[in-house]
Amino acid sequence: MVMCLCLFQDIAGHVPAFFVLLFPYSFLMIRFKDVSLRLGNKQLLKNFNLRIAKGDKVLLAAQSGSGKTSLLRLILGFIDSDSGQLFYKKKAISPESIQKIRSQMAYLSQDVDFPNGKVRDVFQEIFQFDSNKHVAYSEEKLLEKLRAFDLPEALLTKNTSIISGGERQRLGWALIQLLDRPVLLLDEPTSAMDEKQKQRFIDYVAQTRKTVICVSHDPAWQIPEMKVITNLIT
Amino acid sequence: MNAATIPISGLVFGLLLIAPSILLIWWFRLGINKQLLVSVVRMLVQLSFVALYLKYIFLLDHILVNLAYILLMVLFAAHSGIRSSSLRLKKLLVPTFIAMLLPTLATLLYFNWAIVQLEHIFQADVLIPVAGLMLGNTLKSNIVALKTFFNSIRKEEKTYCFLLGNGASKQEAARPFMKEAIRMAMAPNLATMATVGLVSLPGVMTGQILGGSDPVLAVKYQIMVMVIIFFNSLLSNVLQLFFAIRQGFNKSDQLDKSLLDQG
Repeated sequence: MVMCLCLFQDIAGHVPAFFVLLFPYSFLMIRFKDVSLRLGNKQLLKNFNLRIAKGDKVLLAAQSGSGKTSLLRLILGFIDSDSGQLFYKKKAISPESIQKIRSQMAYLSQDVDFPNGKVRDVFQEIFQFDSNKHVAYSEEKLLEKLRAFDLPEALLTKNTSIISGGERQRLGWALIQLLDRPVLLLDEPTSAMDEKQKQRFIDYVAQTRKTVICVSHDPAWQIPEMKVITNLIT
Repeated sequence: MNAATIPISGLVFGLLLIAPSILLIWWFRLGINKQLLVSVVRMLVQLSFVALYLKYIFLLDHILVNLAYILLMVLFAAHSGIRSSSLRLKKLLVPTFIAMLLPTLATLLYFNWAIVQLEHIFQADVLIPVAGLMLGNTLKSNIVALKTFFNSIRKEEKTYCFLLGNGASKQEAARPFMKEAIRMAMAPNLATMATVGLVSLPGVMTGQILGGSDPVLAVKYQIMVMVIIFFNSLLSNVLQLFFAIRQGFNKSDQLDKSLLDQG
């Protein structure tokens, strides 16, 4: 079975719905076309097809070990598919285009793998990357986010390697909100949070106009705004 | 002052010390007598050759011969460096060679021209021993730098990817690992500088004093040598890692694991 999802209803408020219906492909953000992927001796994807339109929220809730994380890694060009092609805004994802495509995305890996260093310095360094320089970042803005996410200010001078999983995840959210990219790729982004914190980020995703692909087992993420995919290999 | 010479009889007495070593090893069944003999013979042959050709190279003292000799030293250093870092030789040999050659040549000429202020800056009996000193140290620190870089980026590939996924270029995402690699590689140099003279007398100084130099001059040389070794290793590390970042990843910035697989 080939899976094909065309999801446009969510961009209401962004572009008039009739416009989208007339030209559905103009708002295509990410497309998997007949993508197959094998890791080790496990066939994770076979002729996998998926279209994600601008503003879509996709929840990958397939069982663990089924290649959900690999799906995100394929989009980011961290791994290559065995066959098939991925597209970002109708352009093939290739070594030539990958840097530009990455600069459109923000990514939370499962453990939010910040490099070693004081939180303050790590953020400073990330916002000094060439493709992040245009973002108006200041420590004050980071502090605002820390306060908003119930994180202590003292976190600024703590080393990223000693902060707890829940704190890392909230710091990750602070990062992607400050980066303000059109596409968010989230891998189990609330797994170490309590209910209240989790709900805050689910609500954020529900109302954002950004395109979001989220990997999570947590049923709390299965909200009406999300298109849920439970089966990758068919 | 002249160095106290070692007469032939002295050499014989010295080598006689190997006999009780063999006895001790045999007595305690250490099982390394064969290795000991092989090592001693190798040392004798290799160093005799060095004595012979250095004597002629110093006598000849021709700029091209001296430079060719240094090129060979760098080539051997680069080769053995890559081999002992258990990375793939082929792809990294040329960059390692360049990363060692360029800083070494520059530092060497600076040493001869500005520090020792030689009239003839390619003078063999300064150029070659100092090159040897620098290369030995640079080699060690380059190995540490390369190993640390590739091991840590492989171990923490998730961090590398996390940075790539949040706007970093390959160079930017590799920077934390580059920093760590340089810090690790330079740490022994720092430690040596900080403790020099406390525990043992360093090699250059000892050699010069035995060779009949005034201790003050010997100390001056020692200080200068430590400074140029530090500078040279650092520069070489930076170049080496710069090349490693260029060559160690594919076009999509993924770590090229084929570089690491083979011993």
